[in-house]
Amino acid sequence: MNVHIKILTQPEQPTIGERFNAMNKVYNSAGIDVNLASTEVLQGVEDLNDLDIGGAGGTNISPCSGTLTGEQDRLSEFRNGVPGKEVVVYICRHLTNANSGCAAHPESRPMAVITATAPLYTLAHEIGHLLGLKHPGTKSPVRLMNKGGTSSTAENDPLPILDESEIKKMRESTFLT
Amino acid sequence: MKYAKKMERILEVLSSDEPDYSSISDLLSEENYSALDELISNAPIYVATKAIICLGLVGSEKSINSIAIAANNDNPVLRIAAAQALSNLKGGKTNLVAVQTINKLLDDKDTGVRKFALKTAGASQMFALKEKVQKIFTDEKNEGLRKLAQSVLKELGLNK
Repeated sequence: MNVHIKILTQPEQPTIGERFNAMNKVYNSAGIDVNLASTEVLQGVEDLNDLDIGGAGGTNISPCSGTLTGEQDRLSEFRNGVPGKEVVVYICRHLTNANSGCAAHPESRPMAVITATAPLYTLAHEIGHLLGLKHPGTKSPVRLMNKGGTSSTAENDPLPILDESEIKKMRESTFLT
Repeated sequence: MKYAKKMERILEVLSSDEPDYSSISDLLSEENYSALDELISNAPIYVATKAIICLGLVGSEKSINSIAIAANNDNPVLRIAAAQALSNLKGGKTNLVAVQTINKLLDDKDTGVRKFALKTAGASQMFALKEKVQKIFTDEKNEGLRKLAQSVLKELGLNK
């Protein structure tokens, strides 16, 4: 699977390479290899660096509820030659209400956003959403797709897990190249 | 639910990638204030920013004062979280400190901070800031922020 990184804010720790290594440790158990196909520092989109992903204000304060904001839609247009079925991950400085990631995207432009300060496995979690995975109904902190994210946040923590039904679902995704 | 159990649940949400704040809104009250304040100073940024958002949901005078302190932090990401927390105040209630904090953040040197301060001024109907927003609409160099100020002025009842 090819994933392209577009940087609005450069992550320090964990680095992009460390996030990919961590993701591949989990995804290899599903027979999926994630390739960092390209990395680009995006210019001229500074106003999207702190991205509105919905949900601010009022009583419904949980962003990224599936409805795309105008800002997400605009950001998704900066693919710069990435083929239609390959995934772009944008690294921003901040997302609404301090979300660490969001995988809502226009149907024709698969994308996720994570923050530069997101924990180690956020990238893998959001790519999991893009591959069709939802948060499991049962609570198990070490599952990659645990609602809100896995409890493993560092390299020495237990490796987050995918169950058989999740692996089957991922392998059916049209985003696998 | 006992305090330790409540805090365990709150920390679980604050450590998550996509926090479901509504699932803990009933647990957030004045009794969690000190623990949240401590997290802002000592936790990783991805947790500290979520703790600031939760302070807004506590919505007490003390918690709003803590948000005002976070609004002075050197890290612009914490200042953005402070601006957003003030749009989520429990019951939609703002107070003088909240309005003064947004007033200050509207002058912030960081574009992202000004952007989210503007959004809060509109979402929380901070009519006292109309003139400041009007000034941003006419003087701001960043085109995106000028457009945002225009829509905030409409939210505040000024047709531009």
